[in-house]
Amino acid sequence: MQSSEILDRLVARVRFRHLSMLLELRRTGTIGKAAARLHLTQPALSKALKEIEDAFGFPIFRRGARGLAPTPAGQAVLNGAAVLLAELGHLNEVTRLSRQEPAMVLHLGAPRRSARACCPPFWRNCGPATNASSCA
Amino acid sequence: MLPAILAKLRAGDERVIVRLSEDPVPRLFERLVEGELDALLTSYNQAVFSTHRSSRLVYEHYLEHKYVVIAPTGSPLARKRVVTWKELLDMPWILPDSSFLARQALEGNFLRAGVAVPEPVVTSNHPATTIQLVAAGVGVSAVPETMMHAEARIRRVARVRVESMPQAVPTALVYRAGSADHPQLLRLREAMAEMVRAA
Repeated sequence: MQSSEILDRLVARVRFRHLSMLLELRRTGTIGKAAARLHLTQPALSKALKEIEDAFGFPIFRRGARGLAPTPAGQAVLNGAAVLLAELGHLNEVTRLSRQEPAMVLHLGAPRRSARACCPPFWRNCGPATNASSCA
Repeated sequence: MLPAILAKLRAGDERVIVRLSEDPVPRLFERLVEGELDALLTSYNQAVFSTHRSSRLVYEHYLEHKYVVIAPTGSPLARKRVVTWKELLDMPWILPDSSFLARQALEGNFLRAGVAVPEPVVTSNHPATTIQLVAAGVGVSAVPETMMHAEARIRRVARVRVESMPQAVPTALVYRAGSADHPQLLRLREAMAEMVRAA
């Protein structure tokens, strides 16, 4: 199957809600606990997980006596799911801030040592258009 | 050149709003890999970099922080023309935790001088706190040169002229390969490239 066909299939079948489910499954490690946190029944979450795995074409979790553990390919899916959900949150933030005037938001991380030593010159270089805030 | 830089940045149509997060380096990498952060500005930390080798991260060398050794203003060390690393060994050192690259770089200076590494009397991971401790006479330390200037101007701390310059600590811009073309990241890299060119 061509990669474009795989992408079409994923776009048609995988929803952001599914990504959220995957991350909850990773966080809790069991279908029961994840279902409780997501206010779903266990069979409903099991069915959703099967649908997601069918869409990707491979298992995302190994089922074992100790619960769920990501497969190597599943780990990549989970990392991507976290990024996509974070991007959705960033999109929401940018659109909220752009209602009056277009804006772009940069989420920048730095250890305290680097932040204080090297960021000030950067803020100066970004000129008056930059608005710095801290969410530390 | 500065007016040209400002003019270029003013020419942009969009406002840039920066959300700056300060965290320990391992946590920053987790937040970057999970998409919460667009980029990190961090010193090289081999252990953390190795942990995330499979995460398709891009590392761009940015600049090197020069470190200086500082002492309380009244310290005899501050008056000496040259101080050896051996003389500094028995000083009461205020140092960051041993996992910090800055500490490892400082210890490298002692080792190259053929002496043991000092055991800190106080462990402080925040340079601003460290400078306050030095100013209060608790001990000596090494801090980024850029952070020392303000305190030196009001004569609270003094630079110690060591026989060889402390090793510089390199800083990298780290971001996900998949977000290399995001506009906010392009804008950041452009501003940083201009800063490096101007330096």
